[in-house]
Amino acid sequence: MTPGTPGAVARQIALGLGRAAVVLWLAFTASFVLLYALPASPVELLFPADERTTVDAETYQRVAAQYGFDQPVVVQYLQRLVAALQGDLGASVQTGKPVVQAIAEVLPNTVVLAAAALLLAVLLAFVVAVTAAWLRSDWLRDLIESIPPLLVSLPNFLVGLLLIHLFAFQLGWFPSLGGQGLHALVLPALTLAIPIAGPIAQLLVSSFRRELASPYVETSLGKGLTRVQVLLGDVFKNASLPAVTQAGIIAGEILAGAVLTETIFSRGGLGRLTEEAIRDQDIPVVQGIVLFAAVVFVVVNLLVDLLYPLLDPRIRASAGRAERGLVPA
Amino acid sequence: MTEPTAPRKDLSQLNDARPAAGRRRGLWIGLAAAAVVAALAVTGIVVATRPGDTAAEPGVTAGEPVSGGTLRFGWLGYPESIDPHLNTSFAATNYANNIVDKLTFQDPDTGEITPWLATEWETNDELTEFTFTLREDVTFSDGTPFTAESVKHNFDQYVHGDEALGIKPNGATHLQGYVETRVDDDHVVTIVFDRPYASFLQFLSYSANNQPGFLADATLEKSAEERLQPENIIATGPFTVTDYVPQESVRLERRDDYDWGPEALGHEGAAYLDAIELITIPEASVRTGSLQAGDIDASFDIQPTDEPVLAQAGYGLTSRVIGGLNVSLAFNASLPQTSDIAVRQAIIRATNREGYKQTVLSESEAQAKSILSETVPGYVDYSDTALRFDLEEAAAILDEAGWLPGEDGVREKDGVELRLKATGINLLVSARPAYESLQADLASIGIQVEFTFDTGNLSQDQLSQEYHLINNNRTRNDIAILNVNFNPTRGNVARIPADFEGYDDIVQRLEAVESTLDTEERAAIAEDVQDLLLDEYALTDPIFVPSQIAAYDPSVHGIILDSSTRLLFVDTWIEASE
Repeated sequence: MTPGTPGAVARQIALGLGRAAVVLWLAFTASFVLLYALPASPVELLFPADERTTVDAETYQRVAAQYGFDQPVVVQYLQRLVAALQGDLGASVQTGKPVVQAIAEVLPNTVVLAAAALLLAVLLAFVVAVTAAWLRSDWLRDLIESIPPLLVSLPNFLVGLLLIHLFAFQLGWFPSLGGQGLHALVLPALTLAIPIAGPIAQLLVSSFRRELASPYVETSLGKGLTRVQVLLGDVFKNASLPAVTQAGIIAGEILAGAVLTETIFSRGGLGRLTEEAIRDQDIPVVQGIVLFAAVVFVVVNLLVDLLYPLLDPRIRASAGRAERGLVPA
Repeated sequence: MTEPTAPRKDLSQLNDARPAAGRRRGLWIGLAAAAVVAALAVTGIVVATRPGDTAAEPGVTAGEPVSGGTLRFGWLGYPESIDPHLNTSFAATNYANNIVDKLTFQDPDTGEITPWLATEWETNDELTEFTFTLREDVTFSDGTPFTAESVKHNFDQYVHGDEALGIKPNGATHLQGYVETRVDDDHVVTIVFDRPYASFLQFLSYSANNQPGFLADATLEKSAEERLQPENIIATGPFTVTDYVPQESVRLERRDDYDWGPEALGHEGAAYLDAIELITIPEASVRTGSLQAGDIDASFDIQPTDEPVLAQAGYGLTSRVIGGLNVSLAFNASLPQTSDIAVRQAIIRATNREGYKQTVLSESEAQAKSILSETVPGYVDYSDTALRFDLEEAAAILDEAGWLPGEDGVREKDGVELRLKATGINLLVSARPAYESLQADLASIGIQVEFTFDTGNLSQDQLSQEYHLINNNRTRNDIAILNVNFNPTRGNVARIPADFEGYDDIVQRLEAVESTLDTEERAAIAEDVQDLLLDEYALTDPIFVPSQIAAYDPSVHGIILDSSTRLLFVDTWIEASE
């Protein structure tokens, strides 16, 4: 059977889904164990910190029963697992809102921000990498190639504050507040894009250099193609591939960066929800976010696995040989 | 601001940087970084010195109040819920304070309990039954009348919760001993307790955690989930909530027919503002920046360092100390070291409260002169007596009690060392430097203290068993807070064990705060209880008086902080722009 045929794809998807299920179950179990192993009592957390000593035992018991915290831990675990399988992750301790709803409400905001940031980051990274590869002057290339490490080392937080003070408060070009509209998206997306663009650009710069040193470039140039044609043709395509494998890591970077970006630009979103749930020890919400993050990683990696053979014929070929027993898998 | 915790994968290894170019690249990074820093410094300086649009001096009234306009008000948090009974966060209680009314109102200036939705009241001699006569002209925003039945329905659910609706017993801790609410007449209602509750009248005016405001029957019948929708939150207040975007904003709109504000406020009729946008701005410098850029009209949660900058730039500032229990360290009387009164007294003596005011506190924060802030009726000034600062005397107390310096300078007695654990508080910016200063003073007399500021993960059991000094601060502008907090049969924050010498004496004298409403008797009891806590049994060490502060554009007037240091917007107005 040749990879790429419907049968092979179906098998790969089934395998991926199986792995995904195991990863999600592990994430659920690990977050349950971690959160319940914390010294803080989940029942006490239902009351304001300064009132916990004042709450009488009867009230604690009543509330514990209401939330099922009076059951043995194993029973609680199984109940929550069964509920989670049915899409019920419990309700926020702080607001009483179902966790799934709490996440679903803020998710669109973060998705929009993340998509805009990713687009900007990729654009920025390609511009840097292509420019560096195209330049022949050593010192100019060094200058351009110094940009990615600079971007990586710029703290998200500092960039955000700098942008908001300069472009919102001083120049008034963009609004400092409000999550609505394309106009309000520019500064936060740029803030989030800059640190992500760094690693992508670094990766691209080095793969461009590697590809440019490949024999096929010599051949193409020898055939009379211009440097630009070669760059934007085969080199561009081949050099982009390693970046795709980083998609999972980039997704993580975006989620982490969203915490700070959303805070600075007063935007609602998953990052803020995460920060608040952890600060308030809102156990069901934290667990919901952990599961959500696990789903994102699993899905992104599954997609990369599926896409990669389509993008790179060599992998298709080697996988095909492996299947036919020609090379060790 | 939270620390950035992004897991940053180091991808630089993937880059095959050539050594020679690496050095030159380093130079470029350095130059670029310098440019960034310079740019930041420039914007920082420009922002800091940008003059406010100063038309009027703050505090100077600019003519007659005018109606209209929307106040854009920035703050750190946001209501975690819009159900006033459930609300406990600072933002949530401030929001709720403007959409509900209460039976009584505590005059912020005098501390006196004055009429609000109740026009008059009487109690039985035991102070277990309180009968209120209600205003008859009050309506909920859905048009239904506010009656004795409303009071009963609210208090019953407030104390017992409603499991079927997912409503927690939000008021159970506040109304311990609640028996029932009796409807005597359409507008006369009696609330019955199984024990004396003198401070109930003050509690009825309370606007902090789980405030006792009144909701319409239509709201009380809704589930916790349904109460996240603005249209389901129906109350009697001067504003109604019309829009709620968690993490971002809450919109309040004026009720035009409102005419039952507290008399003591001196405001008649509806609120001046058409609407209020409560806008969440989590980052402190962005809050200040937004105010200076005119993106918001006023802001709460101002950093201590920004107070003088804003004042100088012509912005108005309204501040008030938190009415209630000051930021303090309760001693854990169950642990070996702090079960010795000599240790407790020595630590109190080694606390340099005046020094904290001079060095680390903001303009609006105050020196602690008792365990209570001075807005609490019955407050007594102990700054020259029980709370004087004297390190030599502190050392002498320890010497005399047999706590002598060991080899490493830490005092010990019978093999027990004065190595103590303490909790601090993260939310108040000034707390950490104040506690660090205390830590240094205590180290100088041979007491080692290790502070934990992030206390979210500590259970009550762990606090009781391991922590000698436990941070404590609470809003409640009445001496009742001392009983609620320290009484070993109630909050017992000092972890007084059953075999503690004087246990019964402490219980009895603290409980006395609930036994009388006579002003003079109550003042005497207040002094007795403060003596007991600060001197006689030395159970707590006051550190400083926290505050809240609102900053606003000079065109904004009439922002009021009530006796619980929560915002009231009923009297707020904005000058019409030319």
